Amino acid sequence: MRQEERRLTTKKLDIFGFFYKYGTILVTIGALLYFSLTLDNFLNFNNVTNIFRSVSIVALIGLAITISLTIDGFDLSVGATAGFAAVIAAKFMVIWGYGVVPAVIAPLLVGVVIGLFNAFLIIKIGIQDMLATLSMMFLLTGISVTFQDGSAIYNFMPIPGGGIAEHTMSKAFLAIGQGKWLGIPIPVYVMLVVALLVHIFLNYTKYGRYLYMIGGNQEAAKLSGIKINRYKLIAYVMSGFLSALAGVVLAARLGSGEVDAGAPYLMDGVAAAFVGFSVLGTGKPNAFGTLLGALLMGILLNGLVMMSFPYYSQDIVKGIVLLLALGLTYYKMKHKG
Amino acid sequence: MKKLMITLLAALVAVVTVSAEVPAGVKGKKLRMALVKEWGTGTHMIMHINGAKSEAAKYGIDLSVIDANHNLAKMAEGIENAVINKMDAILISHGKADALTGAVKKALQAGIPVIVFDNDFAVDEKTANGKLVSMDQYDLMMGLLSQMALVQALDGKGNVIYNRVANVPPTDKRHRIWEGAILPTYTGIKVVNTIDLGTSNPMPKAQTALETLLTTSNNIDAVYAVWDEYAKGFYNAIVASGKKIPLFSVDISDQDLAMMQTHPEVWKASAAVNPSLVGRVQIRLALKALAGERIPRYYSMTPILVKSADLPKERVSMKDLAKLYPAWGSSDAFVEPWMSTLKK
Repeated sequence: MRQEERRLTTKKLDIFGFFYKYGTILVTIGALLYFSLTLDNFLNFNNVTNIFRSVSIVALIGLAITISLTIDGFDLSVGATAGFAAVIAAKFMVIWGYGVVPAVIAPLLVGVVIGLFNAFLIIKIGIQDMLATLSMMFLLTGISVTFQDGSAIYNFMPIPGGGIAEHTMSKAFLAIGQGKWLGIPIPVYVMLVVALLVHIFLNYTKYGRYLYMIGGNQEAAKLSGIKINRYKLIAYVMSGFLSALAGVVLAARLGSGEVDAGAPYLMDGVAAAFVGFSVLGTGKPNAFGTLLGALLMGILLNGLVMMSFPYYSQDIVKGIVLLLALGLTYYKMKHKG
Repeated sequence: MKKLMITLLAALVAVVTVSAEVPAGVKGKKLRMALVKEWGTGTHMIMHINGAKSEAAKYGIDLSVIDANHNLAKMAEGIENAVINKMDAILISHGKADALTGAVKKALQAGIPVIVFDNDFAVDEKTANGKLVSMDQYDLMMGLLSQMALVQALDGKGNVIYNRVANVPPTDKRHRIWEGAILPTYTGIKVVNTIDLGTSNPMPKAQTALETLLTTSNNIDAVYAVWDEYAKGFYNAIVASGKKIPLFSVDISDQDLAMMQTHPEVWKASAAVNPSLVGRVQIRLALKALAGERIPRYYSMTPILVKSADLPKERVSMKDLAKLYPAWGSSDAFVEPWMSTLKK
């Protein structure tokens, strides 16, 4: 009798364990199957590359958040950083007439500076991660709107002093967001390369291991001689840099520097990163999971758009997916021991 | 009571003599008004603010602009603060009725005229007391103008990707024309897909959504955008697809014009009202209310259809549209003879 009971529990646990490990992947495959059976052209090559392209910005932002999550921090300024970076890139080209290289490098540098400033607030001043980056989010949104005089920056825009902007966004820059190479959109390459680099960084370098150690137990990490502040700084600088990169892709995709365009990507990025926790049962922030989380959201959104669902139903689906993923992760954590 | 009588008398005198005598309600007073906006960014909103500001400056009115930055609670607070500070009139743009009705009632009960743009409040006649105006850009007409342009371009027959933004008063009005007038009349028009992605930052989302639809279907004859923020995203998607699908929309901005001029074969037309005129008319209506003159409960501006084929070779911005479309540049709606006296 007792033995049988035990057997039952083990069996139950195994089922849970299986879902814990493969649940997110199964949901992704299920969504793919459902949409490909109900919708013509869903699995057509162009639409698949479309899905990848549509999640490229969310995935980059998600990766930025993932890195901040490894040290048990949270960077809420990622969306605002991306929005600001997009505006900087646009202003460099359209208003100031710079070429593609400065227009990419300048926003990335600004992203690094934002990361440094976040780190300064968190490490030196001692403000909680979320609060410091929340303040930065407001600050950056405001600075960005001021920097662009409250209006989008776009080709042939009227200049406040009179006349029309003489310069335009260069073709090479637009290719970052709109171009294709071997039939695959360039932002997809950017996303995949960055995800791979972040994956290698987090899993196969000393830095990555230390970041996870700090996130797991800061005191223990400190006692084992890890320079905590240095690694926290690295995490926030990388987060700022990746957010700015997402902003560059965003500007190239839109062909303009829109007002506050980065804001909606914050929550989607957070969702991607947390869905990523549950992928393969890692239970911690990881690059591969974030990429899959972003893709899952992208697949759902793509299918729902084809089925003419309005946006609030899309939000319901997003919410359910996130809840399921979080449910798996946290249930496992609670019942670990 | 006595004050009211005097005001009424003064107004009567003003009307009867058609003289330029400034009504007592506004004469010799340093008027202060508040413009409470749901958001204040983007060409459209900036032109609206500037229109109101320059009209206010004409009459020596002190106009303070409150930008709630999409926060309805902050918007309601802005209105209530204006009541507490005894502003002479309150101008509102956008917002949601549910969140603001309480604050608007307070203003009306305090006798402060409320001139609302793109929103309406269910306030009984007694509370409104002839001091509440609900203005719009004539969204019904803008819907009709833009949608008829689409029907004409398709010769009444074709597959359309339609866009609506549900539960937002102006876009709902535009949609009513589509649903109630266009589709039943021109039965050859088929909606193959409807895109609704809400009001927050729709451009990138609209772009992604249309890209999806354009890669998965080959038989799209036209795209309709109920709001130009969507149209910008649609435009990018159509241009990137390399297809020549015509796009029709409502509202206009400098950015829209730049896009229309770059690819006039894509973005064909957009129905719009000059937002700076909206601001001007709001100020005039507030002045009239303060003067004790009758103001309408509802007022709609006169929209025009901006066609990319009408645009010249050289780049134009919204202020240049006056040269192409006389109705764009100015409106003498609610201009009273005494207002020119007040100017001096």
